[in-house]
Amino acid sequence: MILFISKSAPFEIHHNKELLDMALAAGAFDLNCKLLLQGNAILQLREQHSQVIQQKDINKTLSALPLYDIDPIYVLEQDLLKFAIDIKNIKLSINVINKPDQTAFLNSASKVIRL
Amino acid sequence: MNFSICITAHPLDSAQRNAIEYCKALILKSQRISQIFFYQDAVSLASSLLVPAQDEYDAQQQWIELAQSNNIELKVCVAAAIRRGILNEADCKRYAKPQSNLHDAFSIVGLGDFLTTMDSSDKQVTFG
Repeated sequence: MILFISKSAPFEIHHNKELLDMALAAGAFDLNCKLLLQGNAILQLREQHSQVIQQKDINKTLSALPLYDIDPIYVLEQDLLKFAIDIKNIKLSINVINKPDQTAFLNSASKVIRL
Repeated sequence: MNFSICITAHPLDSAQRNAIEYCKALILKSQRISQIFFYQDAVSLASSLLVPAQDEYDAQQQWIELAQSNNIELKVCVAAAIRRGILNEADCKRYAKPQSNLHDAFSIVGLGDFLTTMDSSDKQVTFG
């Protein structure tokens, strides 16, 4: 399994976009992969007003992930707490990884790309 | 063991040197490098218009020497390259730009090329 870890906040558009491009391409090539939003990247789950800065809506790209068998999106328990994000308010399919399970989750990947 | 290498750092970032030295060490230890892939800001390293200062480390030249002496392809992501103004002749014509600037030692590839090679490699190492 290839694990893609997004680490950038939503306004760092190109870092996010290029990580998601890679994940979508992996899905299109039928490679087994997962996406983890880590740290500031979890803010990508919040509603965006990307048209204000003439950028594409990251939420829309995240919504397309299930079409490429990248589903659910993984997040870390401590990041949800840090940014006070309640996943009940998020329409995307989210899997929260609790702290004791995080090492095993990372170890389950044969390759990791963190951008 | 078979290593896939991805570099995302800007050409002047010290991560370039780290990646080059890492690859040299792999070769010294008789390991195989399946690919060297430039993504994000690292694609600027493939510009034929770079002019490093004479007394400074020339990462581009180091990569080219390493790749040519070990027969490894230097791959550059097409989407990331176009976005940053690194164009081969075909893309130059397609987007009606006045000049191409991809260095001859580098090849433009898609993400699928990188990912399928990475998937069949034993290890993936990213420098960014």
